[in-house]
Amino acid sequence: MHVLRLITFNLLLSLCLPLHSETVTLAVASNFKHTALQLKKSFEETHTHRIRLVSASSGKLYAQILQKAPFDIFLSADQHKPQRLQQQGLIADKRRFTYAIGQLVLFSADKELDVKHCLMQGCYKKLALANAQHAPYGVAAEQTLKNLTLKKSTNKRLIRAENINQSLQFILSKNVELGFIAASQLKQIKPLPAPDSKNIWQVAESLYPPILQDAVLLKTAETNPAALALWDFLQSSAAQGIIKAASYHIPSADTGQ
Amino acid sequence: MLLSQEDLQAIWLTLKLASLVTVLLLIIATPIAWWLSQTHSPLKPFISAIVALPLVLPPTVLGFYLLLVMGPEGFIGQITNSLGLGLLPFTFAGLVFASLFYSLPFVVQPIQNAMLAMGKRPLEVAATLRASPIDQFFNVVLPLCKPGFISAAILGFAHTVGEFGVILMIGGNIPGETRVASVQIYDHVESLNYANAHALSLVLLVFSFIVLSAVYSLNRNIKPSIAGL
Repeated sequence: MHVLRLITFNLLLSLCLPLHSETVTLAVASNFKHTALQLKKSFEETHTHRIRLVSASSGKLYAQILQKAPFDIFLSADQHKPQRLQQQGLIADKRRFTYAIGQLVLFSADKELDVKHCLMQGCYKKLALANAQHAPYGVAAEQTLKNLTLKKSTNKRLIRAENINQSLQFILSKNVELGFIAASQLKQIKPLPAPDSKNIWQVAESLYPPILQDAVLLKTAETNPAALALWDFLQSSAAQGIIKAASYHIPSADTGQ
Repeated sequence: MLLSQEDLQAIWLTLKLASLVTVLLLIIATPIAWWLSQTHSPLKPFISAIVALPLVLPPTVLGFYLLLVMGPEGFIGQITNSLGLGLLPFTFAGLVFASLFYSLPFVVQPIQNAMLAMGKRPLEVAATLRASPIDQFFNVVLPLCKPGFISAAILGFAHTVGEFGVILMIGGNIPGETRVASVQIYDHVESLNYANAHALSLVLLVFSFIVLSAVYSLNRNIKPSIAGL
């Protein structure tokens, strides 16, 4: 009887702990969550480790990391916050790289609207963009308007969304005629808009500073094999393929590593 | 001084919004509370439930639906558009409108409780002395239910000052128009300006503490059961 109990106990125990499987907690900026879910799927298909995904704005995740949140890897929507974490000694040595470069687009829910023409002519009442104070896509949008010398004429008509998700929300609910969002968000719209339709304008990269999104491995994760495996995976060509397919660019120096 | 011009503007806007909403809500909530406290109508539970609904919905969810309803394709958006008022999202008027919903239960319920606690007797006595209904309302109901009205005003004001989720959804963060103190604090936190966030939060906290203590000490004799708290 005793032996049987012991065997059952061991069997149950082994069910709970698959071989060499650890969990890595991945904190991602909300605008990357969609892509992170695809990365998670691909990672878990090829590894025994499991990913626990946490998402919030980069600013909130940053504040939580300062307060010792149990995160292993942080995918920020910008470069600034990872740099600050690095300066504060919270990052494992040399464990920071640019995992994606965001692409800015101008978009309208009105399929017949030529958004670029409309922007240049000022044919709209309201234009949404993310708040440049803390959203990198907001900085890019403001810079674009400045480079097109539209800043003055648009200023009073700008609606500053909390982030690009809200910017898209304002566009889709037609509370604004057009707005700046990330190219990656277009993939989440149903029905999927055709990339060459006139209500989408891929803003030329020369018009705004590159939206570099950095990943960091936190110092506390250095001994977690799952975190290290995910860190390598994020830099693999498999992961880069997923990120590119989600309409981000990858730094050219890193490709083909 | 750690407060910037924009912080001061946000505080001023918050006070303007909360005061206006409180006054409007006292006017709107009084007849609702009166009806709810007197009626035996089978509709009463449903109206009570509608009044209490904003307590249930998370503010950002409430804000999201207000954004849709007040937008160009929404029911309210089409009304305001056809009246030539334009659309409510991203305007101060829109914030006032949304706050009326958001803070309604906090104003109706204390008044309703005070009216229930008063009971029918004082009005019956007033009626035998030939007081007209209007006379009864101003000279009997208002004085007897004063603590309830004060509680309602405090709760309505405080709740609107602390409003965040709804405004975040429909405001569009426009300085001097929709960027209230709570949103400004949030922006400071999101852009890692923690010192500014602390300063503004502290000012808001101290101010609210002073106002609340002042009102409560002026009304030290309020019976909690009547005050609805």
